[in-house]
Amino acid sequence: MLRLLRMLTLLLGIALVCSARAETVVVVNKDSPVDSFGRRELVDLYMGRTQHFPDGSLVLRLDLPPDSQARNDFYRGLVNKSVAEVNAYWAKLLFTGRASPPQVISNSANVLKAVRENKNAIGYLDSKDVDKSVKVVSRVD
Amino acid sequence: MAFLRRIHRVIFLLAWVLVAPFSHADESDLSGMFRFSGFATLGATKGGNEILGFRRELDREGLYDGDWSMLAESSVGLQLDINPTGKWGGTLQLLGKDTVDDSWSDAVSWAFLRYRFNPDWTLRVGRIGIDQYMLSEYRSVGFSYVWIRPPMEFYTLAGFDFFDGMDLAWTTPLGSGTLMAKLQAGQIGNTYEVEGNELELRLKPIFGGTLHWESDHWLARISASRLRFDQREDYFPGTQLLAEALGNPALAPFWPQAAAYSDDFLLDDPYVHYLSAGVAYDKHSWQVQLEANHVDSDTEYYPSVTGSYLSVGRQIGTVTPFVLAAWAQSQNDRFIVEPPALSMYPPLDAALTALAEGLQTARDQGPIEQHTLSLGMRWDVRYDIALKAQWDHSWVHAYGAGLWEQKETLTEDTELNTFSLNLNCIF
Repeated sequence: MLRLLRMLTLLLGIALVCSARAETVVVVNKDSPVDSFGRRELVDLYMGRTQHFPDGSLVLRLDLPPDSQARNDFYRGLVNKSVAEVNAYWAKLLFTGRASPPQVISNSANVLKAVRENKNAIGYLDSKDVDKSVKVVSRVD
Repeated sequence: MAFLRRIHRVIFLLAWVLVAPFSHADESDLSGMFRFSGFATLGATKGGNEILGFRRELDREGLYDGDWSMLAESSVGLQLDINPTGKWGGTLQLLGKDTVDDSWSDAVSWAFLRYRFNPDWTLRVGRIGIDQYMLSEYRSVGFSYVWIRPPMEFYTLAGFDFFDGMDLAWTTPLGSGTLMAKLQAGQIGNTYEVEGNELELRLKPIFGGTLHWESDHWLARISASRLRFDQREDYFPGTQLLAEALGNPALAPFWPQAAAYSDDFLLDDPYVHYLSAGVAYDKHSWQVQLEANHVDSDTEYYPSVTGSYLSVGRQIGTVTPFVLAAWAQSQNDRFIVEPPALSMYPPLDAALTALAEGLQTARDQGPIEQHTLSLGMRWDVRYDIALKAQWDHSWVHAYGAGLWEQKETLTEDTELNTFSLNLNCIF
């Protein structure tokens, strides 16, 4: 009985480790007036319902490449959709001329650089890649 | 010549694709000033029978005899977005597909300038998508929906993809979602094939309004539009020869109704009204979508129709099987032409009979009465490529084949199969 319990605990542990996704952090420029972002505001920005910060200024939204793990984790955590599903959704907005999807940046280091250099930028990256040069406003997991 | 024109177009489009830096943004310029993008569908379709020609849209050529075709549903779209400032912007979209008239002007699906007064109000001026039904503005972008094509019963008759004019949109948060209200006004000119003849439709003015509410899992919308045929006091496009022959006063002694039949083709109150409502739900891998519409026409020759569809899909990993059922039904009973009296002069009798038959054919080929059950699946091969397969079984009633191209009037109830396989991508 004890052995069975130990086995079950071990299996549960393995399952938890396997299902855990890396945490994704959402970052903005240090000088941005925004200090924190709720899930709703993030969804509105990354799903094209608004292109503006709450103060009315235009946002420069940044995405990671479609085959990156961080992009997959970010959208899975934010709207529970795969990158393909999010692309299908964006195709509706882009090809009807309603909104343009976020700019694709090749890697986390360049996201940090772009956010540092643009006051109105917002991006996301794996929490292990973030540094103190930007401001973390939200966490998605 | 049509083939040459088509090849010429393909070469032009390929040149565009090859120079378009679509795969990644230029990271030294994050202003997003220019964005090239596109979508394509390469498909094989088997459909139609000896009388009815399958056509996905009214401006496509009919596919008969259960033949396979690579042209019936293939298309490519290229888009250039320009965003010089946050307030000003513009979009140009070219759509290449095999149409009846191979017209270059119709290849420009969008060409508009946009001005954003503030985050809530946006004005667009130019050639704009007509926002009639849920998929009206992106029916050509196969990658964006689960089926091979938007349901024929609902979307084939909506032959107008774009108009030239302006629209004004207002968005606001509402409840757990976002509400968008939009007004559109402008005009339309397009070419269709009806009974083997090309005909030009001009609609002016058109007015439309849409309410669209969207949250994480729900989308609900209603829309209404009013279109006016520009040919007031003229005959319905494509019916002029027949109408003028019927209107000949010399027929009156043998066929007193002829003059009234001729007048039926006159566009004396040339308005068509469209009403539609739709709901979509997407959660826990289930995708359910429902739309219903009513087209009300004051013109005898343009059918008043009620249509609806229901689609249920379930995503399993990267594969989404779905089932779709769609209906369309004209409002009016079959119109029976009162035959002319015989004159005892054989050549005249032959002409009268031919005229009466022509009129009956014209009145029989417009109405719509059919339903279709479809089964299919979408497989997301990659984040930008989807492969789809679909089987449609359609029940078309006698004298109710108005959605199909017709070689002759359908006089018996008929069942048809359509098979389609296609590859959709975005870039």
